[in-house]
Amino acid sequence: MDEQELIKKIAQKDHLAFKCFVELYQSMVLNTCFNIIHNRQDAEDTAQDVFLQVYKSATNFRQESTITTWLYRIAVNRSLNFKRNNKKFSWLKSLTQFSDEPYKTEIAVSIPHSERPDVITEESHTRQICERLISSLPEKQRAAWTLHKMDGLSYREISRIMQRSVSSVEALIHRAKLKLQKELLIYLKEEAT
Amino acid sequence: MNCKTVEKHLPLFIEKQLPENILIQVQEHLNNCSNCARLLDRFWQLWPSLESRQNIQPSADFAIQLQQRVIDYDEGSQHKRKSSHLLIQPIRVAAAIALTGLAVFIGNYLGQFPQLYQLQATKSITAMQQPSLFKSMGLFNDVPVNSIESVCLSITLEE
Repeated sequence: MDEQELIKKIAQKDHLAFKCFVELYQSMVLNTCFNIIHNRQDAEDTAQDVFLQVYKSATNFRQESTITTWLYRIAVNRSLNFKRNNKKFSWLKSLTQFSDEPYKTEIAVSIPHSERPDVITEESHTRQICERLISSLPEKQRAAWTLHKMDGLSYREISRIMQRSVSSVEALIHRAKLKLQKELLIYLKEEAT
Repeated sequence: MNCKTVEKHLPLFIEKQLPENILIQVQEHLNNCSNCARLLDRFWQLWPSLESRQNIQPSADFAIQLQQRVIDYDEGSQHKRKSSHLLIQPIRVAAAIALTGLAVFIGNYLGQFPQLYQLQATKSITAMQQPSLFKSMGLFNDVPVNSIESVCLSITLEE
């Protein structure tokens, strides 16, 4: 069964077709969400939202773009929305965390036990730094950087996903690169002192 | 060149965008300063991680949870369709009553100000006739007649 046929069947609320579709794209969607959100549980919830949106709006899918472009677009928008909403309520979260365990730092609270500073390996420490640096990017730059560097998409594909011009995508990625370099050097200088 | 200046030039050095004379100086400093060289080494050690993807696999219950959410959605939308069917008739009746009421209210509200329409209708009346019209309508009972006349006259002249 090809992708177009799958979408048609999903539009008719065919659960089996939807299951096949999820199996086909779950890794792609989940990792895209994860590379923007940087939290496994939240990324899984967001990926489920993405698939649920596909299920709800499969009838609206026009074949102007490919299925992957459409999926990436939903995944990126959902992930960015999640980050935005999460940011709004971060003060509330930090308040509850503060009242629960006042001596934990923000980073220590937000990462799972296996990645806590006392048990982390060098690799996960590096990963943690990278996640923090990427999270510091403005959201559009973060999305463009993730899609280009981590998903290996071309500027043209990203421009279709983000519905921007190719040159604007190029500029976003360039600015993201400069900011990451600057932030990494600042971090390394702090680490050295 | 000192460490601080080299640190300032490092982003452009990394991007290979430094002018050649500065590039040589930075390179020389890096050859002699172990601190700055270590900083740059650490940078190149971490940089690839910023460009690489961390792959995770969906948890075992990912598909099951999603399936459940789809079933919930289907049941929810069916329920919604049924309930909207049941509600649609009373809503139509209520909307019709509300619209009639609104029309009556607007009609009544506009009917309270017949003077306004009278005023518009008498636009062609001469300046000398207007003061008596105002007086007859009782709009300016507490204003002396002379002042109404002079205002009307000045309006007419302006026109």
